[in-house]
Amino acid sequence: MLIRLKGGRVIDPAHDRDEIDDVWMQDGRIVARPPRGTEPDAVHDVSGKIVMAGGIDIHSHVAGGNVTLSRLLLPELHEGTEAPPEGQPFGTARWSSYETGRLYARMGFTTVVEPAVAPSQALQAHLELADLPILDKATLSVLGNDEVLLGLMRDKTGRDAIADYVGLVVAKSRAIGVKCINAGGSAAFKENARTFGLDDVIPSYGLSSRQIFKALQQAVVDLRIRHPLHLHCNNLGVAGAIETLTETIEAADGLPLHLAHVQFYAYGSEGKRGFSSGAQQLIRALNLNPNVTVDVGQVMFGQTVTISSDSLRQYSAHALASPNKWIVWDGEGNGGGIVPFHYKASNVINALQWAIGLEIFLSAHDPWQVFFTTDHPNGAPFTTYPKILHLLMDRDERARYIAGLPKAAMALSALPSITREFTLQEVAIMTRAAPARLLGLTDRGHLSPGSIADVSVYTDTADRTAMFERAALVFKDGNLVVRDGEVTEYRFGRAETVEPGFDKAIVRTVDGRLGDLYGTDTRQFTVPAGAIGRDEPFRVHPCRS
Amino acid sequence: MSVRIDGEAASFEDAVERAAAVLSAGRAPVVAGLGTDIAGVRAALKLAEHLRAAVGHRSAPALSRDLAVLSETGLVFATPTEAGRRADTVLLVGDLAARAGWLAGVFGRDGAPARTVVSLGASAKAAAAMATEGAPLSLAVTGLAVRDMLLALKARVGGRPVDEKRLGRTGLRDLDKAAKALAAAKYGVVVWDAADLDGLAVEAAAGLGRDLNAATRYAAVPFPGDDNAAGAVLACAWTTGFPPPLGFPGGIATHDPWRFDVDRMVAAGEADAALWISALTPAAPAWTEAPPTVALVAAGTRFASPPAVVIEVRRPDRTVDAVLHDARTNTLTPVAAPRGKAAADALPTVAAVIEAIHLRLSGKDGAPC
Repeated sequence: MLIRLKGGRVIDPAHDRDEIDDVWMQDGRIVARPPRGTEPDAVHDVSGKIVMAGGIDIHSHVAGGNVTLSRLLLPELHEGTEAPPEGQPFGTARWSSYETGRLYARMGFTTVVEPAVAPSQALQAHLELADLPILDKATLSVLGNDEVLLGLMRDKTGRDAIADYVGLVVAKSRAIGVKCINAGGSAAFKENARTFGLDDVIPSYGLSSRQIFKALQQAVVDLRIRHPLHLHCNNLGVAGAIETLTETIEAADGLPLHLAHVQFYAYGSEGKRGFSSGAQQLIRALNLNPNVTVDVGQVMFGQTVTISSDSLRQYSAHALASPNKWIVWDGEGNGGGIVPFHYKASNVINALQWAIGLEIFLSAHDPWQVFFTTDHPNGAPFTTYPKILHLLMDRDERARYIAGLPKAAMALSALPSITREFTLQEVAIMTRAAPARLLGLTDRGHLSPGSIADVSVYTDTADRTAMFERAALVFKDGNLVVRDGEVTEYRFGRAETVEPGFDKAIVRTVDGRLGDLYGTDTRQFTVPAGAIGRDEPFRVHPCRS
Repeated sequence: MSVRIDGEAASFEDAVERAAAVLSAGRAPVVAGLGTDIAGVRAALKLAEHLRAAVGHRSAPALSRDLAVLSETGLVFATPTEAGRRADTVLLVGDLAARAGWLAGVFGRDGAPARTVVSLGASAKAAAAMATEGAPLSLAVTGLAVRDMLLALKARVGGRPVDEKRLGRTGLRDLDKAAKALAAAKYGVVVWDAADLDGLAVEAAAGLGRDLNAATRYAAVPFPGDDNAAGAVLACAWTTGFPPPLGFPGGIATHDPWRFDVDRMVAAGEADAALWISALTPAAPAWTEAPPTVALVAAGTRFASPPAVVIEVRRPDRTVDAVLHDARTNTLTPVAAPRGKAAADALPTVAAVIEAIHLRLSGKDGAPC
């Protein structure tokens, strides 16, 4: 079926394109303008509207063990209010996989990355993602607190063995990359450590956090996985954590590294509360280290729940739980913690967190280096994205927020003096082109012929919240799935994966170690395609050549 | 006989048609048992939403007690694999805590630390089998339930006073000895099975483990239930947002452990049609007055009186590849059936039967998404 999107403003920063033009789709792909006289099967007049590639979220906790624990912990926070439309089972069941897909799709997002999948829970995560409609998805495998990696490092088995192990886990658990969450911190917490910095050492292994993350960073490079190591640093949420963050950036030594939700570390220790913005210090470090990318983890005000595999940090945060109940668990690797939290506009610290996030976005020199996230749901639910885009694109909207926030908080951030407004091109970079490039998904994030036909059409209004809340049209693989902000039908996407090469001899080593440790083997993190319950659930993307 | 209608042999097609008629005739149908693999649970939930049926698992009483504590207070827990590797102190709460088979798989491994065992109501033999460091410390006071002992122990661990008259001098001394032993752990675990504890006891056990984390490390290891109960909880939660018991009043997924307690609904005469699923164990429902029932059961299941429809199904993990909850790793795991057995089994899977019924009801082509 040949489809023509006629006369829209096409914004495709991957090709420096911003012009009034048509976009053509056929058989699930973007195609070049066909020869004159070819009649399309469907024409959508999108004149006056904005046409972009489908949105891509690189870091959003939408599936897996910790997400489902949050569902079980907080049933009262997601009681339903409406029945789903015909043909869209569970589409309005709040916090369900089905609702997540529906709500992302209506905002024009077509790919989402679940960034924290414990290898032993990879099957569960992929089953949950298989029930998330419309979008394609991908997972990152969490390593860095697992006894196998720590054992290989302690026993000095060498760089190749570590790369083989990491490659085995990524391939078998059907991931697209590697995540490391407070390297060594959860392992140390099991030994009753309550804080864990970059150069702290896990007592029983004698390994520092720095050594562990560097080993994983090197393994990802050696395996030629396109997405750099995705690191959640030590000391999340601690006043003065900007020092940890900048030390970690320097420790990357020029190799690719992605740092997650940096707002939660961009905290200085100045002022009478000993808590201040470290955003400008972060920006200076990023400018000196173009090998490092970050996502923001923007905070918005309201009730949410923090979901993290940083079990040490979540335990230490339990006193802040609101409502007052929380989960922490230990597993073969990181384990995790679920702590509900309410960000209050009247709270100086929360208001400053909000300001620091925006300050990072608006101070960044290169929109290809700073990514758009709320660390859903940790900073705010993903449904706040339209409001955040509005804040970034409209200084008057920011002024309205700032006027209602504590003056003591605003005095500690540069935000009130920043006049920059993001352009639609910059939004398209942050939410489309740059995420695709960072993930190594060359088939999306842009609108050139041959790319998959994931296309979002927005009505260009001054109210950017309204614009991005409800896309006018969304196409997934060339199929119309959203009209006027409502999902028209379910389709089920795939999980995007990589299969790095590794020496198969590592399987026996890992089987042996898992057997000694737990009586299990590599089946513990193996996800068979036949177990997912959908046709062709995975798509493999090449590693770097 | 693998397919029966009203006790008589029937074809699969006729059974599906009758099943659809039975279930769609109900104004308040229930999907009960739910003893099946993840594919079966996913299919059952879609049918339940279509029928606006209540959904419950046959482990519901114990399951609901654990889930209530999870959602009311939270929990600090460990996967059994991790607990077994680290635990140097084990508190057994209740007689069923030391279920054979379950704990042997958790704690019986070589290389684990020496274990001190404190027992609150577990059998002396089971407690002794667990302990590798000294004799187990068994706490018992005549006239006091496990729950009361647990609450007293939690108070002493927290440095709070207890009623010495009720405990007696020996009782109090033993209690303080146990509190001291628990606090000396490097990594302790609290093991229970909610099947033989009441809600307050489960909350106290969970709270005790949580409190001990103030100074050292502790984690709960609750028994995850039989018949893939924990797997059903996970699949229900990601599909509807909620664990069972749940229902779909007005088409809206709703969690209410009393309202959608399927055994209560049947006993009260509220339920007027039932889909009973027990593919992992050959078990019939224990209802005295059953509504018209469609039973998808493991081969060999015996019924006191014949349900409207019986369809025998493949046993997940034995004759069909399945995804089931693994109690040791506390996660979903693929279980491959031996190839020869899978090929030799002519029975359908739970998911296939439910999808056929659903298709018959919705009258559309293709499987429901």
